[in-house]
Amino acid sequence: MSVLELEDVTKTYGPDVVALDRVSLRVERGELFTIVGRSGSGKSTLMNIMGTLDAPTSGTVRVDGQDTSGLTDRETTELRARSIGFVFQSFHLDDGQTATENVMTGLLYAGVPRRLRRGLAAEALDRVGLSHRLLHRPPQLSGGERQRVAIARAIAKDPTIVLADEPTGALDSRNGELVMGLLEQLSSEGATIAVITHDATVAARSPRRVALHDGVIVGADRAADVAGPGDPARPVAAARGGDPGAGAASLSEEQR
Amino acid sequence: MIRARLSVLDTLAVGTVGLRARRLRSVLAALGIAIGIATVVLVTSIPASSQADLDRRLSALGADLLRADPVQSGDEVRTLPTESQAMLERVGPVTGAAVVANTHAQVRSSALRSQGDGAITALAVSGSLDELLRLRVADGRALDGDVEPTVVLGSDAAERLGLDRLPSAPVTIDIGGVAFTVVGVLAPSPLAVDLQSAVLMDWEDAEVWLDPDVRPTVAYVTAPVETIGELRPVLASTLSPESPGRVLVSRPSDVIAAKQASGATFEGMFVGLAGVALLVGGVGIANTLFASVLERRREIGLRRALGAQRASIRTQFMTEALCLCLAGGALGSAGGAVVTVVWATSRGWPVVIPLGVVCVGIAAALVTGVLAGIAPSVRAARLAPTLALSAE
Repeated sequence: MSVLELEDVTKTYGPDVVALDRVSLRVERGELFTIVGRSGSGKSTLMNIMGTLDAPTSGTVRVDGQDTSGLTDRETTELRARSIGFVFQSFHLDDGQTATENVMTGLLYAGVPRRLRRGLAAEALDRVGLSHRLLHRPPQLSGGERQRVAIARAIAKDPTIVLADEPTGALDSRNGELVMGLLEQLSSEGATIAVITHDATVAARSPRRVALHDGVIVGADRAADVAGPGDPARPVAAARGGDPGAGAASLSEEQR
Repeated sequence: MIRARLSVLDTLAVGTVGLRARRLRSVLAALGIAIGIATVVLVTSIPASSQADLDRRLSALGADLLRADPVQSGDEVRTLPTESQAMLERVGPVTGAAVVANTHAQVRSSALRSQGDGAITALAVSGSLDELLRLRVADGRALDGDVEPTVVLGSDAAERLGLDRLPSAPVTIDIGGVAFTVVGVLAPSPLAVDLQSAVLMDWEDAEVWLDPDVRPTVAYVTAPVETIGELRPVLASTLSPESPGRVLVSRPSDVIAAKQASGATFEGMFVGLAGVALLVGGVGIANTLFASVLERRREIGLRRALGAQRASIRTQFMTEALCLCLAGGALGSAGGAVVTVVWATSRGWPVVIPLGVVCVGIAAALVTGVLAGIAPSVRAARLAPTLALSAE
């Protein structure tokens, strides 16, 4: 069953700017899914819409099978609190709070009772390999460690899906490796993770990915992920079948 | 199902995150409110303490006291009838009467010579004057009717004679050529200011040593407070049956009360100042919060992404405003109280801090907090999470 489904999602800003054009995609339970595209391709808009932070101009977004179009801000927020975990490029941690407290903030709005939060936060930090950094504050942590705290915050509430927006964007390649390895491991443990990245090597690690170009899905490992009602003129750059890594790499070559 | 509202503890914890992260700014913002509240407490507590002091003095000295003076005209020195005291004691409600006479005898002393002798008057007193005026002896003893010529000194007179503290050896001063032994010094008495610059002797001593025909120049009576009003004209006609207008009856405590009342007119102005101080404090807090909302757009966006409802964001910033104002209110009340204690104590007043005013002050701080917090918290809650997150 799809945990997150976009159907013909279009997002326009004013009459001229089309950020997303009839994007359709599905993220299945337990998979590690990647959307790759350079900056300006509509990645951030897509991320915001997938995360219910923004509403599409037209089209349907379903989270956990629930259509979000008719929901009030309150209901959407509630859905987000329960079902979606976010990981951001710039971590978005509170420097004044310890790693544990940062993770606990994620649990606070998910409605986890106060007495359970500390235990769950410690557990999540343990899962990302930071059980020795519980009381450290972000400025005392390396970039990779900070992103792992952010990942712990996203997974602590056991969301339906984790959305990771350029999770390696602010990290050196070694730490980027570590973070991607962690996401893969969490995925293998059953978490559903969608990564949005401009980095082809990051995308290459993902078993399934789509490419976004100028607001349109242009490449996919599976025909079902291709956007729109079959437009033959649309360039399909990614290789179908074969080595998925090579396909994504060639896409990024073309985009340079 | 997710609880849409955070618990009280969580609300407090989240609502003070920003304050704890920006301590100096929080303290300064709260200080604005504190000054306003301290002013409110001060402008009410200090007059209240002063009033309590007045009440204490009035009750100590008596609102039950009347004084009768002959009205002077031209060069003729008018006096009261010799039998004044007995006449007054016969009037119905009068509970005590005493008379004082100016002997017009010169007071001389080696200590006084350089300052001139005229300003110290020698008074003869009869009846229970000590009791009526609640005169207190600061040093030595009171007059006790002994046959020796003895005097007690008013506080100012004692100071001028260099006798604020009586030496162990007996001291005499020359009054009208007679050596009077000083036996005591009186404490200051606000109701009998004219006695402070005088030396007092027993009526009999004055008759024996200075003037056998000494005549009363002032009379004092006490009576139950509720009869004082009707007693005034009766006293005048008793002392001067043919022309009551020649005797002026007054209540010494009224003079102090009138003096005090003139000070109270400033109170309204100070309350106005306190209001202005509160307003400025409130604007400061609103300003701090607005700056904080702008600065913390990323935090707000993050919280929204993590699932915070708009209401939670609104509550968070409102909690900040209220915490700032409450802290300011508490600080201001404490500060105002401390200053009041110091001020009142330094003047020998009893300390009165009206609890109601402190409550009103804290309530005013809370109202200020709500007013100052509304606009910033609404703005914070309205921020779109996407915009907030993209802000760097």
